Amino acid sequence: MEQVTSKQPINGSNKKHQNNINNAFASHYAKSMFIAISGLAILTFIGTRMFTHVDLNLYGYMVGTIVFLGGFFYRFIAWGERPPTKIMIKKGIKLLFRKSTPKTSVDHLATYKFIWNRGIYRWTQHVMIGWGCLLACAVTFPLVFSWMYFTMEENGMYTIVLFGMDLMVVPADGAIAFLSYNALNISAIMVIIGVCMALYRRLKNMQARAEQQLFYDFLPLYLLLFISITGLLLTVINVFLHGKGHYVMSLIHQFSVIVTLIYLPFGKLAHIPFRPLSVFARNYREHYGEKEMKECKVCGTEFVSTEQSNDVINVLGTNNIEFNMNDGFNLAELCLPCRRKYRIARFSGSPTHQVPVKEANQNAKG
Amino acid sequence: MTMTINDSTYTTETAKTKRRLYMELENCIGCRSCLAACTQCGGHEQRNRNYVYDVNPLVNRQTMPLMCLHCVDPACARSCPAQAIQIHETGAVLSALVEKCIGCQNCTIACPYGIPKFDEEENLMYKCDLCIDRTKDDIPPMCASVCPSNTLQWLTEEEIAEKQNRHDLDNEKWVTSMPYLEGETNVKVNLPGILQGTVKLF
Amino acid sequence: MQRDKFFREIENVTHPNEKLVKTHCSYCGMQCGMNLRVNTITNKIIGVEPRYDWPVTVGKMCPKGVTAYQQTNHDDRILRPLIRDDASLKGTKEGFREASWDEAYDLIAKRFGELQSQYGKDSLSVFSGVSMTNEKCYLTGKFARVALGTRYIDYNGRFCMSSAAGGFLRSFGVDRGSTLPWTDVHETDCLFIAGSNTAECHPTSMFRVWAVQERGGYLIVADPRETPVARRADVHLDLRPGTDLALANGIVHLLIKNGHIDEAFINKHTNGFDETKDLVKDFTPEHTSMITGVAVEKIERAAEIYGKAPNAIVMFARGIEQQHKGVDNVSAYTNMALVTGKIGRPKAGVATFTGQGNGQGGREHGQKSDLLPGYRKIYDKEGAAYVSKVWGIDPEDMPQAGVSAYEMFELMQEKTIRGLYLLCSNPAVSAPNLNFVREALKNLDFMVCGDFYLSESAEYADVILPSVTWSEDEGTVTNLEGRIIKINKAQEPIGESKPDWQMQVELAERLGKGKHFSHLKTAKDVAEEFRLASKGGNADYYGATWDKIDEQDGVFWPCKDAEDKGTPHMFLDKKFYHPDGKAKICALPYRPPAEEPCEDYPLRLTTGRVVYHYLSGNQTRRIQFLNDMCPEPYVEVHPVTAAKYNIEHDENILLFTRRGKANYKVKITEAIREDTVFVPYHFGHDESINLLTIAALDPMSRMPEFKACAAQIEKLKSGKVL
Repeated sequence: MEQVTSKQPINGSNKKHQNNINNAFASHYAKSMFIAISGLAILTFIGTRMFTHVDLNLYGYMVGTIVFLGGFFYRFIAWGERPPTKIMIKKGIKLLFRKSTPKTSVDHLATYKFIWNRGIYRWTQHVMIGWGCLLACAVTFPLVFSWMYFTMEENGMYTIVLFGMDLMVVPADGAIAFLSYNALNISAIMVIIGVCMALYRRLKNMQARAEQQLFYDFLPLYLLLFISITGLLLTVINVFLHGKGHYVMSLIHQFSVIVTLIYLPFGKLAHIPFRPLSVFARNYREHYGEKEMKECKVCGTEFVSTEQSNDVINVLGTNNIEFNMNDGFNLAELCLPCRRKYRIARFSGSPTHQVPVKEANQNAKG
Repeated sequence: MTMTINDSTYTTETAKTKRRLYMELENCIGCRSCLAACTQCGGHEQRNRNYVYDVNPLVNRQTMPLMCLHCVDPACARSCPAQAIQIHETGAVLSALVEKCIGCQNCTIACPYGIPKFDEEENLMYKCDLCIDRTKDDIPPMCASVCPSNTLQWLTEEEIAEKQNRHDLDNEKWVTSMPYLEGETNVKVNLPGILQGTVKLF
Repeated sequence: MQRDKFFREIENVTHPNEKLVKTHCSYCGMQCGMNLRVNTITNKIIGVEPRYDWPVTVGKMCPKGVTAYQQTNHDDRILRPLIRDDASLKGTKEGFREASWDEAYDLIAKRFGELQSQYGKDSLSVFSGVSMTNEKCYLTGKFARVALGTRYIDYNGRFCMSSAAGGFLRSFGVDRGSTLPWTDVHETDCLFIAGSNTAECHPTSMFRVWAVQERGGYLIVADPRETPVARRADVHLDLRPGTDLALANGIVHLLIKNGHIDEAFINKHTNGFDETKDLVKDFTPEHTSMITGVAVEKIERAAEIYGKAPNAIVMFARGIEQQHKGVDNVSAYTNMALVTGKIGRPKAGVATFTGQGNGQGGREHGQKSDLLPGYRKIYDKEGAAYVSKVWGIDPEDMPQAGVSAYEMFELMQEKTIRGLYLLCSNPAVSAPNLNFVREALKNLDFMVCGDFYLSESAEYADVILPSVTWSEDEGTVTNLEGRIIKINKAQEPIGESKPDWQMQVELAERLGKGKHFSHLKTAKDVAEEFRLASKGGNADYYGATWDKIDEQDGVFWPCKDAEDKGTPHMFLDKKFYHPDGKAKICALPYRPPAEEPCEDYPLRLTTGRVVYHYLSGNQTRRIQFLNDMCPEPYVEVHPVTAAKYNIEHDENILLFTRRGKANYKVKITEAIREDTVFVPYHFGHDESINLLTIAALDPMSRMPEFKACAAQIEKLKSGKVL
């Protein structure tokens, strides 16, 4: 949910304090956990003006968040330790300040341009779910940790307080105020629309059907639906039933959020916090591509950056996979068509990869 | 690396029922029906995922298919920073999970056979998933279903073993892994030379 | 029914809101089984699923078959009748306007009426095709003779199957494309395949062909090119195009000389052996080799294998049939089976690879200029009287035999024929000597074309009637085995398109012949009448009801009545269909191709198919996958020849004959004879190789010699298209 903010400081501190602080902790995991919880505590301390403004109704969420962080770091570190991931993260951070980073980030993380290219339906669905969730988190978490709260003055004005500072004063019946107290309702409706679209597609579309699994693909959708519906019901109860059953419903809602938070790092939703890596990947390809391209050892076509070719060879090496051929090259040094033709040559004994004829169309559309 | 055949780890029962993709390269007639049919598989979304090559185009009409061989230790998955390439319980190495693939294209560089394709627009890798919606229920993948020449077949372990008994003359023409492949694969390959070991009827 | 080792029970994959409709492919004579995926909400065809339970092809399909479903809802479909008022635009796509069916019918009735009252009944003609159901083929014959009352009807089988038909009729007295079911093919011990690029033209036969070799059997292929099937042959007889008759005679000579003949069979069941023996005496391996260009050892080896094989099947296709001695070639290769007695039993026989989907059924039921339903000759009084009765006409009114397909164009050119109803065919691409044929089409006073796409031939029409694809109608088709199978309807016709039989019924009503047609309201009605009309003929379909076809996985004709299960194997009783019950071994003197290479035209040009396209390409060139794979024609040239002309791979050159010229990209390959060049024929307009081919007709089948003529290459200065 709040993917961008939580991860980068962690990585940053990881790197800076590597030498001196590392030894104090049993593992990366413990260290990260320590830093995260400390950070959380400090923020909350500031936000609540030394714990004077804590909304105790929301303490369940707080526990949930901390469990979530535990799971998240566990997953993230297990993942980040894999050689290819490590390289991508390391080089990604180094290249974070490329000129193209803001644009790539917006494309990948905000407007989902690549999903647009996969289809307008999927894009709409993803925007609804993605931005619905982001909006909900942006409102919920500051409330939970009391970084933000609202006060109502006598004069019909409404003050939004962020980290103890008055962010803005708005008329209580104005548009901004309306949007603020209905932010969660709006986000719930967005998520419901998006999830329904996703469920419909999953039931209908063959690709989705082919590989889907109940727990991996459907559970997160059902969880989001559960959260959104119970959240909306809270509003319904308040507005139409004058708060009857509010307490029970708020417990159910809280329960749904906590379950989702705990599940998040382990299921399909884990792609949310890990997604920024696609910005790293783009930077990595662009930067090293500009630096030096690898020429195919057979046909001379530049097909990938030298850096990536070497990185892949090294990564595979750490897994004891080596593709050095007797013909004097590593397979990662051949462009894709040549690599395929080289295999055909190995199969047939004819030098397929050396015949200077354009290959038959391999991408004809069905 | 040495040649390993893990057939012995299977019980007789699985050998009778567990089916694999088997490629009889000598049979290929270059019709590319496998490519056309690939797009027909549940959600391959009009994009085919395999290859057919003219072996020696200026000389003869020999062709050979090249599909994902579904490595037991797949380099594509090993090189993926996002763990987007999953291995199905049947051994099929699946196409990248759309939500996880970050578009780095490591897999395309890692694959020793050059199989994964990359869609720049969608920032997404796609590859043969052995028609997992079919093969998970033991329905042959589309390519092997339609292959008019029986180059691609969907055979039980036992049937493949029978073929090996007939055609494997210990001269490296029968290939299930080394030396012509870079590691053990779930797809079994028989190099050209199928007729070796065949006794003529008269 | 007959299930073999390739058959396995496999479930089909279905998705929600989707049903599968069992049917067969729209293209070649293999008629591969397939399931069409139909969306049950939109009722549109959306894809294809293998039909694993079809005994002939067990789910297999070539790329054409896999993508065939894309024809139905294609953007290029003609949805409403089109009329062109400005005749000067003939030969172009321009000038058509949409019209109602009424307007189109009225115009056709008026113009046909004018022409017939002014120039006589026979001023009209029908040119049809056999890529459609038996019901449509049958009704087209009836329409021509009853509704139009013209003698001039013929069909594109003249460019396809007529030589095989002629050869079989002469040798056996009956023309069924294969004497045995395809499920026998892989169990034979030797396949002798002549003039068939099986791997590209009938790909789904290939798993059976390879299975013969895998069992230890032999494969012999006679072809000027090393096609994918020839590449793996035990013996590849790489003969000069147009010299098949010599090769067949040479092999029969060796069979006799080596004592591989079955004298008992010859004496009891055949005529003509002695004359043939006399004739082939001269065809020693050396003599044969001199004519054909095939090495002596190869000829000897092929004869030895075929002779020794316990069971063998001789198979052939257009390579030997599309010659001006096509009928002789067919009989000559059939002689191999007759002298060795390798016929009239399972796993042995003779078969031709039928080119078009219903090439077999379509030629049996009255589209040929001299045939009536049930393979009755039109000049056979008794048969004509029977058919007249079924049709409800006076036998006196039955028109006489007309002329063959190509000869119709000659009559158009000399204005004997002034009006044409063309359907299910694209002669502006598929006929030989196209400059002449296109001129003849332009020369017509009035032309109607039924098609579902605007074909190259439709460009010459005054009225285009939108017909349906195979999946929007039902009916029977007879595949290359002689097995009658059922095509099922998967979706309603799109737009205002109609099946051809319905157009013909409605048009007949406008022409005042309603009483012979109006009772035909469904395809099934046509089927019932057609079965009756075929009853008692050689190709007797009377017992082949749609129910029986479903129950038995098809019915092999002849099938005379309700009890008759059909005839998968022909001649099991060694009774042939000549009056004396004997087959004929034909003595056939060799004739060279009509046009032999000379100094000005030193190359032999031969034509054929590629796996991605079907016939004139009117359908397949519109399918994206197929067009991506093979978007343009090319000329295959041997590197030695290419060096002589100083031309390179992918270079554009000019290829020309005495009749025409065209530019082609060069494809260098050693898989062709040095003296031969090859161009695929699926392309239209300036790319048609038939601009160059010769219209030398076989004296019996009237088949043009597509497969051999003399040509020359000219290097272009720029290497670019002129």
